[in-house]
Amino acid sequence: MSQQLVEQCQRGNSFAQKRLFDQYANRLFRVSLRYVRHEPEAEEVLMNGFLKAFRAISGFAYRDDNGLEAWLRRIVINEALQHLRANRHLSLFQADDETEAQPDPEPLPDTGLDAERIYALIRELPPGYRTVFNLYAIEGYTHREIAEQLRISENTSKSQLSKARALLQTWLAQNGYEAETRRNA
Amino acid sequence: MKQKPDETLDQWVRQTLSQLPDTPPPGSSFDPARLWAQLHPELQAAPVRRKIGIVWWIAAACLTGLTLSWFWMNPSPADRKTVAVQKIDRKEDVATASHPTPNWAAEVVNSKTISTEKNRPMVSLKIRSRQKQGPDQEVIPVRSKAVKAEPPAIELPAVAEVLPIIEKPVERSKPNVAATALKRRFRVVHENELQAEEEARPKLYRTEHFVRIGTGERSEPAPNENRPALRLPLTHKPNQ
Repeated sequence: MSQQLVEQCQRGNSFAQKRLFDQYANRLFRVSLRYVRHEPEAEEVLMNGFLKAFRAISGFAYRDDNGLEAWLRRIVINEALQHLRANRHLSLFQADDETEAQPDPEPLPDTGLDAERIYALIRELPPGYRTVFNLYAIEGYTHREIAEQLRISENTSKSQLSKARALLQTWLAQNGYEAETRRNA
Repeated sequence: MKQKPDETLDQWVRQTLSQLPDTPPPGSSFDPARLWAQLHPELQAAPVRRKIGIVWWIAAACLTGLTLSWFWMNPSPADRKTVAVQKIDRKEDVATASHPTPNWAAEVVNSKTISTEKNRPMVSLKIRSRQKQGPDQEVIPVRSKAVKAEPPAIELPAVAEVLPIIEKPVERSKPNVAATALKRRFRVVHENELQAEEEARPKLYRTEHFVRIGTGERSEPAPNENRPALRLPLTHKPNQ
């Protein structure tokens, strides 16, 4: 199914592009919103990501749906990192003390779903912490790759990750997740 | 191998986030249809821009080619040489008596050789005939004699005209001499007229001998008032 969609998109079929967009738009919007906190910026990142994807899809070799999603996801992540670099959001890497002293995050939406609560907590992390945590813990990048992507040192990446974990655990404990996390471990 | 607590947290977060529904976050105003409405024109515009760019390049190349060809075909007026002198002598009486059609064999054209080659330094004397012409040459000479490209002789002011060279194709068929003669740009003069002009002009001959008067040995110079004036005509035949 997705293979036919990709083939039609490679021929420039507009209907296939629309179907592919509808299939992945919400999922990739969540990815974009994990890196870029504000929704208008996340929409801009998503749109630029889809533009690049549709222009580069002629060189994409389809294997399976997971490969297609990973390819789209990587494009959106790169676009988000480019947006962060362009808007100098990553300059907050140096202000470690101030971010640690920040007050509690905004009140979470009471959705009753653990995933939504965790997702909202990650979005509340400071930009430097959030970016490194997303890249390392969720996307699976190494510190060397993160350092190359963000143009920082590996030690800075490790430090940011450590502090992001600490802050996230603190917030999870405040929301009653500490015991559950340790129990699962 | 026992996992570190931090890696355990990462794994737990990853597993939790994988359970997220395929919808926008709660409280979000994200609308995929609205974003597609913005994205679709961008996708359509990209190839058009590329086509427009190609069209502009093709148009610029054509314009450059036309400009270069125009300069190649039309040299500047300074480059045009005005060396053409045409004399056409025709024996009308003989021609009309023997041939019902005009006799072009008697035409003598003294002009610059008109051909596809440029900047030829010599001017050739030609007799034009009614032979078939090649496609590449405009004038087919029957007899041609190379002469220097000099200004026309002084003794032929009545027939000499200095005109700019205009490379005009020679008409192949000329059924009526009178009709075509009107279209000619050079003056057509019969050979007899030239001969009559030469005969009417006083004949001047070049001096061939000089005669010395007296011995030339004088002890005293002769007074100026008694010295005879020796006048020799320093003339020459104009056509030599």
